[in-house]
Amino acid sequence: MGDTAIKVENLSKVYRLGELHQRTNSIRDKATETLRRLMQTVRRQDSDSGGSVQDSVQSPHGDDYISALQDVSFEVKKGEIVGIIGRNGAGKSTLLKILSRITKPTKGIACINGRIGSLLEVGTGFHPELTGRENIYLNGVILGMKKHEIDRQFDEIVAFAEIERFLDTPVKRYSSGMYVRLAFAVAAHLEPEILLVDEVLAVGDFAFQKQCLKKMDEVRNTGRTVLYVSHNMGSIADLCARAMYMESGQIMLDGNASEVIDNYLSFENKEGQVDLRKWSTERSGYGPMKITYLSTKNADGQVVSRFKYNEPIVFHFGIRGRTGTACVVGVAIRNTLGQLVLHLNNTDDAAEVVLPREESDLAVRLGKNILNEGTYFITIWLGDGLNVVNDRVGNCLSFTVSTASKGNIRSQGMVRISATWIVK
Amino acid sequence: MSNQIIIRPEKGWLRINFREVFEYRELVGFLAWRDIVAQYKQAVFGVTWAIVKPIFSIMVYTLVFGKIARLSSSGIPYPLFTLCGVVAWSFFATSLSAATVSLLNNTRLLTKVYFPRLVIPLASLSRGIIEFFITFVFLIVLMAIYGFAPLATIVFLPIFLLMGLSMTFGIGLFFSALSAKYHDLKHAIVFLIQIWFWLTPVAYGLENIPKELQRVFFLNPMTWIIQGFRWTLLGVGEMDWQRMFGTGLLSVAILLGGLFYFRRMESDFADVI
Repeated sequence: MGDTAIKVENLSKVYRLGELHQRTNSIRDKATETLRRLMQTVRRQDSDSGGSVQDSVQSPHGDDYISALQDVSFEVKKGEIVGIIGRNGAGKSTLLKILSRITKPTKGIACINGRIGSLLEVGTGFHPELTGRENIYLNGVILGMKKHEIDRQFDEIVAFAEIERFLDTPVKRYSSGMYVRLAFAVAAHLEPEILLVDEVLAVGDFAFQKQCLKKMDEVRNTGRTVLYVSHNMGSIADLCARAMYMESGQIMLDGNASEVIDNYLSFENKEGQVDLRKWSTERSGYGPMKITYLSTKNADGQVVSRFKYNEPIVFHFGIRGRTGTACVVGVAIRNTLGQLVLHLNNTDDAAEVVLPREESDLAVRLGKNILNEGTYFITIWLGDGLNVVNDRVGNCLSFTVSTASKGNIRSQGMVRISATWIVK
Repeated sequence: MSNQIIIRPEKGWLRINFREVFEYRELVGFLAWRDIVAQYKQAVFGVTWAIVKPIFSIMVYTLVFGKIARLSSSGIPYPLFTLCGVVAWSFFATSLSAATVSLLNNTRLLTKVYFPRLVIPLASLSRGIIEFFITFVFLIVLMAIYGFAPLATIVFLPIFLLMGLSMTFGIGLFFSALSAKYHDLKHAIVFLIQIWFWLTPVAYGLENIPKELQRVFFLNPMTWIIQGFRWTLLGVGEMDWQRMFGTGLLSVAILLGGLFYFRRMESDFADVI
């Protein structure tokens, strides 16, 4: 097979709903409910994107089928780091599960050349009654390491997790931060030739996420092959040269990471607004305040997602919280390379934001001629006077800025700015 | 040397990759250790429960069957007679229920990590085995108290132990695969084991059953094991090469049946559990 690490040909995975109806009530209800939700996600993609992909097929016997993967084919060479993006229910996790040999495909074939390490979840197999030390070994062996490998790396793992003092305490006494650090520390020391990672970086606080990304970056330099599923566009853009966009069980796009991300966002976001009330992707926060929607409007108050470089952009959000709360609001704008281009914060501008009622609207106006041409995505966060993050939603809406068609007036810098030029 | 893995659809009766299970032996060890340690970590009496249960059982059986019902125990003191059966039976009961729920209790592992699925029921046997050794020591002690020296037949004990182990594991595999799909089975198994107990000559001797009905008892695979076990230790009952061979054949058949059924259902575990 030469330098190919993974080769997938016509991989399909179909779940049959019918066979589950044979179970007793309690099991049937649980199963059909879960799968009905999955089906709804899949059906929703149909109507939204106007596509004609028939995901749910009725067999002559009246069984319903769900196609989690349809005829997926691709090849990954050794040392490539490939990001996989797509909405929930697109088939990303199913693909990783099949490649991890946890479930079998219905059709097709996959050839793997090299030792695989799968990180589909952090802390798998941790037992609360066992100590940190014991869980390191247990978790390590579960992930596929041999005992002597764990022995060799034990001290590094403990140092990475920063739990030296708590090694012999049962993990049920650990804080959630320690738990997650330890779990990741063990997983980070897996040394497989091929690494499959499924959205595990979504847990943990900001410092932890930074640490994880740093470690992932290190992996990049070791020549390992990585398949990385994530909703965090920034991390995908940072770590992966190549990305695949999956939707409804198929690979829609496969190529340069930035281009794929750009295209994904135009598939995803419609016309400059997003309802965040039930949004859960890349969301964190301790509450109680909540951001209910986000939209981008032009100076005339119209909701748009494309702006000319010389018009102002107004970000509107809905905030739900107690009347009279003083808030700290942040708006982070990132480009498709994941770089933070701008960060707007009301305290930086010495502007007070006090909620006038339970459901308030906030408008943040960004002047014209600041952002360069490109696609940007918005991360918003909401905090209270004590700097506790109440709600944070990452990369939930995108917009584009374009330069005028006559001539190329794209600035060289990350941002545009007007300066005054005086000749003396 | 690159190891190439080919992933393709699986269906029907499949070959069992024993070599792979052997490669994962460390995992079996760790999972077994985890079950035992976790169970006894916060238990004050911990290991003593393993002895207390059989003591109470034999006291009750001796009273009810030995004294009140006056059943025969082939000349052996009733407590010793029943303890012999109880030690073997407890292993079967504990291991069978542990194996049955093993997949269900490790749902997260099954859906997130790869390893040959046989590892899980294999590791679940650990508790039964440890408890067996503890109660076996107790049995030897009791034998000494009653003045029973080990007989020549004790040479065959390891063989019967092995046969009991393979029979238990075979049945355990079958039930564990079944309960992955039909979760209620874990409740049914408790009930099933109870009934099974009474249909096996554990608390009473087989000689109490009328000769014509004794054959029926031999439809129960556990009867073979209990009888064999009692024979090797206490010299009770009849045994010939035929019967020993028959027991061996039966236990191998059950083991293989369980293994192949498990392997056949294996690919669906992560999907249906």
